[in-house]
Amino acid sequence: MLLLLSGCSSLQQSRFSGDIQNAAELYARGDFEDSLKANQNILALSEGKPPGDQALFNIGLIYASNRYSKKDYRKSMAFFQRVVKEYPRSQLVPQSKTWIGVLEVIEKSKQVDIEMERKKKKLVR
Amino acid sequence: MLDMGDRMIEYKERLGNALLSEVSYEKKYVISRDYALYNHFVSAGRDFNKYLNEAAAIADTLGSKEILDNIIRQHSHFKMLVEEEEKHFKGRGVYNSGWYKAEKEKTVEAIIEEIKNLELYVEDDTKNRIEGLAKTGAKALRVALVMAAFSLISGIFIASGITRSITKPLSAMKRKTQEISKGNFKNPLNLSSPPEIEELANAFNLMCDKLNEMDKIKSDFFSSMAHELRTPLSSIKAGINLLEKNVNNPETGTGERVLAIVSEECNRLIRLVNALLDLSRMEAGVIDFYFLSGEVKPLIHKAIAEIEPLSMAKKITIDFDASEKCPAIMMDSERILQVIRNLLGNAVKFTPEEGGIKVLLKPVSGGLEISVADSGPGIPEEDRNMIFDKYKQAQTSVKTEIKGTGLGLAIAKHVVDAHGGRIWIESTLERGSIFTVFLPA
Repeated sequence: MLLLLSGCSSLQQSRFSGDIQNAAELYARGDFEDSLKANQNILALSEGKPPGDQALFNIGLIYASNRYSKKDYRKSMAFFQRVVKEYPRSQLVPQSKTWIGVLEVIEKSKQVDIEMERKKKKLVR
Repeated sequence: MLDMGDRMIEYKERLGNALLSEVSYEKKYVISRDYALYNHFVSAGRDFNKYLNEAAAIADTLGSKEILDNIIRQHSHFKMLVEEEEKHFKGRGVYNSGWYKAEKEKTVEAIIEEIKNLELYVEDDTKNRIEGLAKTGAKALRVALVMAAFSLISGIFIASGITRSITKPLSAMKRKTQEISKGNFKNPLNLSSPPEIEELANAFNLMCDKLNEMDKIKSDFFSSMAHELRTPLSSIKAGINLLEKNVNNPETGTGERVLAIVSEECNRLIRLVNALLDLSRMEAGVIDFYFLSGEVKPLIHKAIAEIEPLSMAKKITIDFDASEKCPAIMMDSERILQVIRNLLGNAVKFTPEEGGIKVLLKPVSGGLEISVADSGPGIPEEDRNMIFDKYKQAQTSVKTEIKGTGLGLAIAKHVVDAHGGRIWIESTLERGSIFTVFLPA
């Protein structure tokens, strides 16, 4: 059964390898919107199986990229969290956790800055 | 004072910024555990403490000091919490991070409140001070206005007082001047203030006294002159009457004697009038002196020779001592002869019969001296200073039994003064007088 599953998984991955490659190339070119769509397609078709984790990880990277105009750390963090949650055995889990930690620090720091700004206004008032 | 308020507000800004930086670094350190952020937190805390100490140093009110003390206390507490939490981080043990977070938040809020209180307090204090200054200014203005009004009124009163104190005595002096112009020298002015007016009034009274005295002397002088003129005129008139009676009887031989007397009286009148003329011209400064180098000795001989008949008539001996050689001097011989004549004439006049007159001519330092000593009655000390004054002399002469014009010494003094010399008298009552003339060489 395990062999069958792993065999199915490998089969699945080789089925999407072209799409994954395409999505990676689009990302490398800076075409984040198309790369996002490509990854979302892979995610939709993978049905909770690899390379769904890769697609989620890629989407997380796209939303964390500084070059992406719709950069959103919260969304990015959510996709990395899905990798950890939905694919706990994925090889991408450690990297996803690292990303989650970094993005959490960034988000909390942002909150701190907002809070300080509020306190500053309070002081000035 | 207001500058202190501005500086305190400035410190409030700095404290706020430093605190927020400090809190921001602290929170980020807690999130990331990045020790670089902790170092920033420490640095911001140092800045906060520095500003706090500087603000405490300039705080000059109890209220601001209290607020700053509270901030110091709260800030120390905050630092303590952070340091405790940091120890927990290092120890990697389990601790109640929520409590620390809430406690730190509470402390920071308290510090922020105190900083706001400081601002409010400083603003209130500044406002109060400005109001105080405004009140003080208004009060000072009122005081200044009252003082100005008081000064103005006082000034008007004082000025009118001073004016009155000046105009009143001046009016009195004006009235007195009008009285003087009418010949009334009596009733002296009695003005005691102000001091300058008092001095002026005293000088005015002195002038009145002097005028009064001069008026009296003038009257005496006219009286004396009238007497001096009337005596020879009476003699001349009597002689003419006698000649008229004897005009048809020329053999009696009286005509020649009468004519001689009349001639002598006419000469006396001429001498008197000449003396008066000379004196008035000398006093007016219109007489001319002709200075030539000459010796005085011959002039004395001449004067003695002229007076000799008169002295012989009174059996008066005239002793002239000119044993010492005298230098020639620059002089108007006629005028010096006139001086010697006058001195000798006076000496003969006042020396009693069978008395003696001593004339001495001697050289002295810078010139020569002529002295004429008589053995007359002498001159009282109080009169010695006034005998060279024509009016005084006349007055003195009137008092004496021996009549004279009294102009001789006044003329002599004028002449000697014109020569740059000096004339003076030494006298002893009942023993006689010595008149001395110094003439420069």
